Amino acid sequence: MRKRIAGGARRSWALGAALVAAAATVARAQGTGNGYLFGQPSATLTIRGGWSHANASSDLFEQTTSEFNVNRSDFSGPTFGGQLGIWISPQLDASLDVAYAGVSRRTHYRNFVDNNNQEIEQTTTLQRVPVTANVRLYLAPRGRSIGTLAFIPARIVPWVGAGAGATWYRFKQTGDFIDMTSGVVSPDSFETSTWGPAVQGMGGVDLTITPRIALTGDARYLWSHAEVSGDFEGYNKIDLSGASFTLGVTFRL
Amino acid sequence: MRVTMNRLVQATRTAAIAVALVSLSAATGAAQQDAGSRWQGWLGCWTGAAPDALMPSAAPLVCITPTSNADVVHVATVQDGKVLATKTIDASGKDQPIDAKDCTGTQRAEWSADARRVYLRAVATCAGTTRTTSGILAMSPTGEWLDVQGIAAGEGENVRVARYHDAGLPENLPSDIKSALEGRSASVQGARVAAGANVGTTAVIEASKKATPAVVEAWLLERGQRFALDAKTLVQLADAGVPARVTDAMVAVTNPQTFAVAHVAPSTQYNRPEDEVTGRRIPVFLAPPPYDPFGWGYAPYGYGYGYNGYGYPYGYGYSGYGYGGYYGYPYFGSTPVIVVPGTGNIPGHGRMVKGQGYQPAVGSAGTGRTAQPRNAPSPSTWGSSRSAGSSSSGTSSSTGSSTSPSSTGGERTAKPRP
Repeated sequence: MRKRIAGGARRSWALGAALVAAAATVARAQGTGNGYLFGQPSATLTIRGGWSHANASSDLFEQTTSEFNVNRSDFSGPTFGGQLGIWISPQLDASLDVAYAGVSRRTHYRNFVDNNNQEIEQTTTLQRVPVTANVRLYLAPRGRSIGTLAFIPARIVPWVGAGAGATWYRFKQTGDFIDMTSGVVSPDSFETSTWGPAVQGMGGVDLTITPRIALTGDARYLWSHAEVSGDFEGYNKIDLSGASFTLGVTFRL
Repeated sequence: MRVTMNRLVQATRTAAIAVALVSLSAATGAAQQDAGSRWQGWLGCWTGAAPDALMPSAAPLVCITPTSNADVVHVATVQDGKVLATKTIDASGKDQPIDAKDCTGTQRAEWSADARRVYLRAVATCAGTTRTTSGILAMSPTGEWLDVQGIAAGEGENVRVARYHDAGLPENLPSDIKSALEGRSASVQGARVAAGANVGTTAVIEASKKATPAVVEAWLLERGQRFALDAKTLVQLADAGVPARVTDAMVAVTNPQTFAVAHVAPSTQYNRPEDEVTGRRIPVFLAPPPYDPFGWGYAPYGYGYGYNGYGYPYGYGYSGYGYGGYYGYPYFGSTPVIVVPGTGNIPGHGRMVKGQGYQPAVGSAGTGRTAQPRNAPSPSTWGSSRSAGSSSSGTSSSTGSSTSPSSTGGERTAKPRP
C-alpha cells in the first residue's frame, strides 16, 4: 500500500514537473523583449506548492484520532496545484484551479496490541483535490501596455480572489483492525471517496522575475464538506476545510 | 546566420559612418561655402528604387540643387534631359503660402534638431476639400532617400513611401543642374551616410511631434533600424507622448526574431487592384511626375502604407509569425492537474462504523493474532463494553457477544496495551 501511495505521489509530482517544463517551453517560444512582453498576456499558468492545513474536525477524524495514534494535525501536509487564469480585464482574471493535498500516516491502535505484544498497524490516508473556478481581482495594474506590441509587467501586484467548485477526497485506512466483538485482528481496508461542494477565498502577491515569469505567494482558505460513504457508516459529513499556503511560479502566456 | 549578417552590416555601417565623418570634416570648408549645405545629403539626382522590371524606361529623375539660402533647395523633375517641373523646399520652418491652382493654405518644412531629417506639413483646401499633408524626408542607413508622406482628408490617412537612390549625373542633364551638382560627390556621400546613421529615441520623440503617427511609423519600418529598446525606454517614450503605433513599429523592428515587417514582393503587387487583396496589403502605384514634396512623392515605383477610412492598417503589416502569429500560439490550457492515485479496494472486507470501530466482513480470516489492552496482561473477555479510543473521543466499541481469544486457537487477537 505504501508503495502504491508513493507511486501516486511520484506520478503527481512528475505531472507537475511536466507542466512546469511545458509552460516554460511555451513561454520561451513566445519570446520577450528587453523587459517587456510582446503584447498583453492573455493567460497565466501557475504551478505552486506548499503546505495545506486540514481542519479535520468531523467525527470521522475524531474516531480515527481516538482509536489510532494519529492527531488531527497529522492530516495536514504538503500540497501542490496549478491554475490557469484567463485575462478578463486589466485587473480581473477568471481561473480554473486544481490542487492536491495528500497525507499518508502509519498508525497503530492507541490502546491495543496483539497477543504477541506487537503493534496493530494501519495506514491512514487522506487525499483532497479541490477543483474550483475563481475570479481574481488584482489590487494594482498588472502592467502597462505600450502600444499594442509591448506590455511591461508590474514588479509587484497583490491580489484577492474567491471561487467555488468541488472537492474530491479519499479517506482510506488499510492494515490490521480489531474486531471489537471478538478481539480478532484482521487485515482490511476501508475507503470513502466522493465529491463535495467547496468555496474558497484567497489572496496573494505576484512578484515579477522576468517579463514572462513571476513568483506567486498564495494563501487561501477552503470550505468544503462531503458525504462519508463506502465502507464507513453513520458518520457525519467529512470536514475537508482548511487553509493552505503556497509559493509558485506563474508563467504569463 | 542572421546574427552574423547583422553584425556584418552593423560593422559596415560603423565603418561607413566613421569614413563619413572624416569626409564631412574634410569637406566642411567647401560645404560651408555652399548655400544649402544642410541639404548636402540630398543634393544630386535621384531615381526611384525599384526592381528593373518595374521601372519604366527613361524614368524621370528628381534632381535637388542648392540655392543661396542654406535652408532652401530646388527640386527639378527631369526626363530626357528636359525639366518637367521645379519645386522649392524651404526648410526654414516658416509657413509658406501654397502656390497651386484652386488651392489655398500653407505649407512648412523644417529641419530636425540634428539636421538629418526634414519634416513637412501642409494644410490645403482644394475645391472645398481640406487635406493635410505630413511628411518626413530622411536618409536610409544605406544612403537612399526616403520620402514618407501621409495625406489625410476627412477621417482617413493614406501613407506612402518612396525610396530613391542616387542616379549620378547623366550626360543629358540640363547644364545648370549639372554645374550645380558637379564636384560634390565626396561631401554628398559622407552627408548621406551621416544622415542615415542610427536614430535614437530623442529623434523618434521629436518626429512624433512633427509628423503624424502613421508617417513616423512608416519611416521607422522603412528604416528597419533596431533600437536599444527596454522597458524603461518604452515607458519614457510613452510618457513623452509617442503614439502607440510608433512604439509598435519600434518594437517590431527591434525584435526581428519575433516580428517581421512584411514587404510584399513587388512583382505580385504591381498594378494589382487594391480591392483584390484582403487583409494586409501594400498597394503599388504609379505616381505621375513631377515630384511634389507636399503631394504624393513622385516615384515611378512606390508602395504605400495604406490605411483605410476606419484607421485599420493594411499597409505595413506583421508576418504570420510575428504579430498575428504571436496571438496564434496555443494557450497552455485545458490541462488541469487531476491527480488520480491508484485505487485498490480489497474485496470482501469489513467496515468502519461510527462508535463501533472495525466491523469485519462475514467469513473474513484473521491474521492469527489477537489484541489485548495495552499495559494489561490479557483481556479477561471480549464483548463487554470496551473503549477503543481515548476518553475524550466519546467513541466506544460495544459488542453483542463475548468471545474468548483462546477459543480462536492460533488467531491473532487484540489485547489492551500492556
